[in-house]
Amino acid sequence: MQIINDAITKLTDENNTKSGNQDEIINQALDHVLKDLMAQCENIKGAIISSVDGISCATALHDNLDQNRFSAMSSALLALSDTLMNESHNDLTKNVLIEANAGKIFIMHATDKLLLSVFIDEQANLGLSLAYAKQAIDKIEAILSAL
Amino acid sequence: MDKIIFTGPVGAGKTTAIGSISEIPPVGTDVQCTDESIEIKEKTTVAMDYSYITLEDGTRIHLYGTPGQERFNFMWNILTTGGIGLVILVNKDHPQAIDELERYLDAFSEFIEQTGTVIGLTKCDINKHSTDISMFHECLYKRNQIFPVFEIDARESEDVKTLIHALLAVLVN
Repeated sequence: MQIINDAITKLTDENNTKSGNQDEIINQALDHVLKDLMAQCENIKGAIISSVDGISCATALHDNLDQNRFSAMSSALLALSDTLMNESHNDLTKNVLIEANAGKIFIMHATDKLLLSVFIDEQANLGLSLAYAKQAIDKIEAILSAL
Repeated sequence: MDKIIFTGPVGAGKTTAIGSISEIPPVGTDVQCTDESIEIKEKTTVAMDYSYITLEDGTRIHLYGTPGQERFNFMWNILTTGGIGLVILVNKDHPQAIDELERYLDAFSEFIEQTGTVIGLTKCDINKHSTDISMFHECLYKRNQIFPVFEIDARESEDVKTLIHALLAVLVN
């Protein structure tokens, strides 16, 4: 968390903003958010932060998953889910949960422009994993609100 | 189910074309652009567009629009499954309009072999880089893919209906 706080401090530093370090600082901070998330629970096997239009921004993956392809798929799934929820309940999606015997994937809005996808194995406690993901989203929001 | 797929590059007018002939509020999956597409438009389709029209004889035609970006090509396979025909829309004023057309002819080659295809050239009212329609015919001729080519305005329902009727005529033949 210290590294993320440092990043927020750097982002609010006028010199860093002027010198164009912003993108690098944000990317490093987002990487740390994912590392922290994975460190919290061994059953979380991977996570990706992507833009809402499917571009990978930060990844922490154990497997050789194609992060670009997965980001695009996550974006498509969440957008379809939002359309479904909007038409049925006039609301946005909290999370999309995909379950299989080998594990689960959930996809959530992180900010209005970013989404978070998390892979958990079959042993994982879903509620706890969702809570950790929510904490990660709070950190992402804190980083971006420092801009 | 009669299902037609609209595809083509980003900004060609797929969502607009489906919306212009739709009998229902179209199902869309537009999100904010964060890539280079933002220079063309604010929002982009990331999963699909869906709507339908009913022909004079009562036949309902289901319309599916694909995302334009290559990174969503997994949706192209999903959406073409069970389709009866393909509409490729290309921005006629794009500096590489012919390359853009060829990219989609290649990407959908398997589906094209099994079904019918028509080409719609959009943004014909802009003449910054506009490519003459004869160049598109020549491109298709060289590829031995003789498909109908129309200059259309994706905002005009009659223009888009012309594409649908041409595609259905190709399928009958």
